[in-house]
Amino acid sequence: MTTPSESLANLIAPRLVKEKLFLEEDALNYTAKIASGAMKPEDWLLAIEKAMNKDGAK
Amino acid sequence: MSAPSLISVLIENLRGSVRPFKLPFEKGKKLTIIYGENGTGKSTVSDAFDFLGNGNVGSLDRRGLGSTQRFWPSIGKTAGDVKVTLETTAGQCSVKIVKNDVAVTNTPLRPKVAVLRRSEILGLIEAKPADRYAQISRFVDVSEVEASEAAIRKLVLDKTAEYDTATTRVAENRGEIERFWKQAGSPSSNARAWAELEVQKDESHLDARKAAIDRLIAAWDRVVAHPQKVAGLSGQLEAAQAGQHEADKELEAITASVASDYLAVLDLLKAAQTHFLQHPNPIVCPLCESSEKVAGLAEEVERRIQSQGAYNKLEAARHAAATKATAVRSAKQRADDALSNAMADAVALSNYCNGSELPSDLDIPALPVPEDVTQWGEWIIENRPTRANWGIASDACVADKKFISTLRTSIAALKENEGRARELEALLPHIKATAELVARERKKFTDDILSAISLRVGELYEAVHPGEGLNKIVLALDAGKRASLEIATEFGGKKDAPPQAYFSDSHLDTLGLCVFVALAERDAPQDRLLVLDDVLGSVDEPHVERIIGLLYETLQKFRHTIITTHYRPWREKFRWGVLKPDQPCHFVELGAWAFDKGISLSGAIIPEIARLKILLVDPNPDVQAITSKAGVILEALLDFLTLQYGCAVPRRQGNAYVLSDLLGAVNGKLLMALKTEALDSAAGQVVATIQLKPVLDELAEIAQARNVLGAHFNSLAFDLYPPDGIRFAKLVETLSDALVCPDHGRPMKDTGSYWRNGGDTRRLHPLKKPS
Repeated sequence: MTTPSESLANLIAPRLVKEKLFLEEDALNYTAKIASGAMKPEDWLLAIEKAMNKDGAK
Repeated sequence: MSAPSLISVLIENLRGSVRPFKLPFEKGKKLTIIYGENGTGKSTVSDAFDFLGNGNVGSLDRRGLGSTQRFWPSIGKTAGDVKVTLETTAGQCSVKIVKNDVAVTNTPLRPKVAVLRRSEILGLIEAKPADRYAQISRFVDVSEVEASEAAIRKLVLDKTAEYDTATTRVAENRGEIERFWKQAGSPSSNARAWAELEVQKDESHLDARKAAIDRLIAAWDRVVAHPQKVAGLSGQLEAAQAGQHEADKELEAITASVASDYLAVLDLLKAAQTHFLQHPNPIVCPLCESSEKVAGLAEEVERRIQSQGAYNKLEAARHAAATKATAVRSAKQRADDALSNAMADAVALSNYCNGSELPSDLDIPALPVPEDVTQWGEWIIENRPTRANWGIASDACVADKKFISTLRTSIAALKENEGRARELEALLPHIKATAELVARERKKFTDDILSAISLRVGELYEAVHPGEGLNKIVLALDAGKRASLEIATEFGGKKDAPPQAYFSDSHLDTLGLCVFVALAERDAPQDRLLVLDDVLGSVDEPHVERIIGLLYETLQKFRHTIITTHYRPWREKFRWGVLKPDQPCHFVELGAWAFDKGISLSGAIIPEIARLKILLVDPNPDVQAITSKAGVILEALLDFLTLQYGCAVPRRQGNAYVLSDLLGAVNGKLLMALKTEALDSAAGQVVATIQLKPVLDELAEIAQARNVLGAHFNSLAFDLYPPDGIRFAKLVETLSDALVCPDHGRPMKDTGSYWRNGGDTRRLHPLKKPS
């Protein structure tokens, strides 16, 4: 059964993509990490910087 | 895939089940109502499901017993004897106690069970906020996401601090460069432009200038060293010459003091002495080769050499004079060399000063250097300030290089910090936006869930207490505390009122039940068995039927619901088809409990119409019993119709209406309009339409059969044919079948157009009594 954290992470990830804060492929990878509480500051930074770089490159 | 249906539960040696008790479930019915007086074993049945699903016997909790496991077995039994077995369409699952642990066989079939007991109904309402949160946390506990959220918040703090540091350093770097710029006299338009140009300049000229100055200094320092050295060596020469003079004088004095012939033959005698040392026994004189006087000749030569005693002194004086002469020559050579070197260095200095290598802005000493070295001292003193300036100029070159290096470092640091600040300036909004998004979504998520639960609780509550305005229930997390849930309502216009402070016990009980149901509904109800153990305890009469109706409506979504109750009217109204559920229902009654038989079923509760039908199919029918039963059923049906339409009946003490009163009350336009529709619930189609007037008219014609045959002993009965009683009963059966569905009861729900029952298997027209 899906836990509340998993449900919430599944809501958060697409919102991050929509706001161009995460890349779509990273959102898929990081959803489980967000849901399990394993997301570290460096993980957030990496994902955000990748989205920024890709957005900036366009 | 839907969860398998229940077939039966077998309870062995658990609390009141001193004998194995098997409760069968009717096929196709997901609602089981267990009616029993107090002490019949209802709680044991609830405990059995609690044990089955949760490994607990919750009815013993909160009774001050401490650990309750030792009280789980029936009297005279041990924990190892306790066993509950659930049989489903997919197989069996058993739960028992093995070594104080709960052991499950066929775990995949172990059901999820939620139990609400009368004693626990206020648990969530009266609990402390933290305990209340614990009960609801499985829906709103997003602590894992909160941990991830803490990480992004930390990132925001770290990067903000980094940004502050970078901007602070930028300000420091700019200030530093500004100071350098001012030190340099504020050239160029601004400090930054000046610094950028400065650090790009070629520094090699500073190295060349310093090297030229250092070489000049070295040339000067070499010249400066000469006067003292030359003077020293001149002194040494003079001393050597004086020593030579003294030695010569000593030699002259010794020579003058000895005989002149002695000196004339001294060399000859010393030659003879040397010869005799090699030929100590001569046979002839080595000079004249005469053998005369040869004896003692060597001793005579030795005696004559030593004869005047001046020989050693003379030899020493001669040696000293020679040594002194050598020293004078050496000293003279050194003095000459030093002088020569001094002159060479002086020339070199002059040439260097006059050459093109030296920076033009540099002062040079007064040239030429005096030819006489003894005059250099004064010349050096005169030019010493110039020499000091060369040192300053050389040091200035080093300082200039260091300054540029520092400036370059400052510019590089400024650029690096500006770059870092720019990066962070671009990054920070994204990080902050991410943190805000996560926080916003998390709050919305929990708020939405709590809001949905609150709304549902309010809906359920309103269904039980319609129009009381007590349905604005709010469940909210306390923002100031972790894992703390507040419950509030609106009472008498006062918002955020704790219901515990304002609600009656009965209202609180209802609220507790509504909260429990609202939460249970959210927790995969299709997989869950719901057990409500005697939860109607303190609910007052007007609300009981509404609660029962509420339970009927809301519990359909659960896999199976077991409700235990000692509320007798429920049992009776079920018998008469008044309180029928929306879903098919299995209603059983427990018999009196006893040590020798334990829990027992007293049999299914059979509706009265079903009993009448049983009587009617008897090949040897009991007419009296049939007409009696039919008469009571007809009274119940007419009571329903007259109440539903507000028909006029004679007013009597205690509303004790008789059959004729009720039959006469259904008349006129209403009688003409009355009809029922029977529907196939699966297809949702009307399968039969029955006008009630013909049935009621015919019943009115033979109504006296009931009194004559079924109500009293009287002789009139002897004149009537038994078939009249049977006919009366069959008409009642027809009327009952038209109005009452065996599963879903009477049509008592207002659709706005007609009345329908819970399963929409019977519809009654019209909705209102025609005027």
